[in-house]
Amino acid sequence: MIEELGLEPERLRLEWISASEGSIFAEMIRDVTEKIKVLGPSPLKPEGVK
Amino acid sequence: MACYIAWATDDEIRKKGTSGGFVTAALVSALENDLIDAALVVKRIDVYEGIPILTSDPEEVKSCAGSFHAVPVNLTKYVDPDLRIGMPAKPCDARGVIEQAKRLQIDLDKVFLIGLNCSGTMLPLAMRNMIEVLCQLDPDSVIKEEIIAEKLILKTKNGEKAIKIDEIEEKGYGRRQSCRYCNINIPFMADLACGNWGVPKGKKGTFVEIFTEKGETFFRNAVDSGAIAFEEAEEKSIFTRKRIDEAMKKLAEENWKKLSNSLDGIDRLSYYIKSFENCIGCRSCKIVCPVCACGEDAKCVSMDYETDSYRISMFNLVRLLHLMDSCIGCGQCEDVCPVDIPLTFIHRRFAKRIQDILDYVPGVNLEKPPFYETKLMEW
Repeated sequence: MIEELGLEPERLRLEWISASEGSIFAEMIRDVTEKIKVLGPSPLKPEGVK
Repeated sequence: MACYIAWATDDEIRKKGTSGGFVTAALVSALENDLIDAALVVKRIDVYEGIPILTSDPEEVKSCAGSFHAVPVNLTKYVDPDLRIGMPAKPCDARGVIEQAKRLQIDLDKVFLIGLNCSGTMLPLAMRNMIEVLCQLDPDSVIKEEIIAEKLILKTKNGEKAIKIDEIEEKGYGRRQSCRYCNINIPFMADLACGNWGVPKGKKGTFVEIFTEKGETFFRNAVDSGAIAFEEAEEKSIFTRKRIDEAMKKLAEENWKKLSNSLDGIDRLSYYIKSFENCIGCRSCKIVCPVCACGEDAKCVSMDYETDSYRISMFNLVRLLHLMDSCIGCGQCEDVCPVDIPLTFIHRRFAKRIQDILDYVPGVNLEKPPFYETKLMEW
């Protein structure tokens, strides 16, 4: 759906992480945050809203 | 599979019916013999207007005989789950009922799906305009219309006028857009399929193909009570019908490609944002949707806040996602949209993608949607 809509596919990510894998979880969140920052705000966000 | 040419033994019904009056006669007979409690039929007001009714009155059923192309309503949501119902069903009606059965809203054992071959329906206003401009006829003078062999035949008091559907559509009139690319003409998912394709020339009969035991029961009841007579369909009839079906399918696929390709090379996100920008959030598309069974607390409604003011509302985004595995392309959403968003086209764009990948066709059998099963994991 993301692809058909024309959004960047990197905006959605699905990972299976166990409750015992804290460091993997933290690593993934850091990675996602970084990528999203590069992509910028969602094009679906209304104008003038931060 | 059993194929017959059948017709009503009652002359009046046979004359009034589009092909042989089989559907009307068999429905009346099912009502009289207590096979069903009610028939779900479209009551005619004129050539351009009709209303769906649930009736137990055989006379009322008889008055609804004959084809009707300008009432593009989907009958699914008119089914009363407490009654045993016989309903003449276009492929999209039948598919809607089956999708509702999957969602436990309708008990299929209680519904006789009397399939009608369908090559498309027209919006009443578009049909009036077309008749006036293209056929030079007064729309109100038309007393009957039929589609036979890719031609629309209009009957007035002074005679007949036939016009090729291709020609109508080249000039921008004709069937609803969703019908132009619908590739299911014979309702093979129903209990039986009826139509005039394959009926030998000059014969007043209905081509009937029986698919299920329920269909057989319905057919036998009509035969045993003397309401209909029949003969086996000949090879030639079966072949002709198949050929028409295949030609229509091919045309539908070409139409889809042409339409779908119109989005090639353009920025789809901007297109979708632009398409939805006039949405007033009236929810009509959800209310009429024959596959939606979510009720009032549906996710699309409860996750939608006007104050969010996303450029495509959560209501529309959730519906796009939710319908990807179940949209049958019936066209109801687009028909009722007060701001004319090309909803069916958009839903088809989203749904076709996933339905093709998962090789899943909604509404043709009781197979659960792929998101419920392991199929998705394999993929």
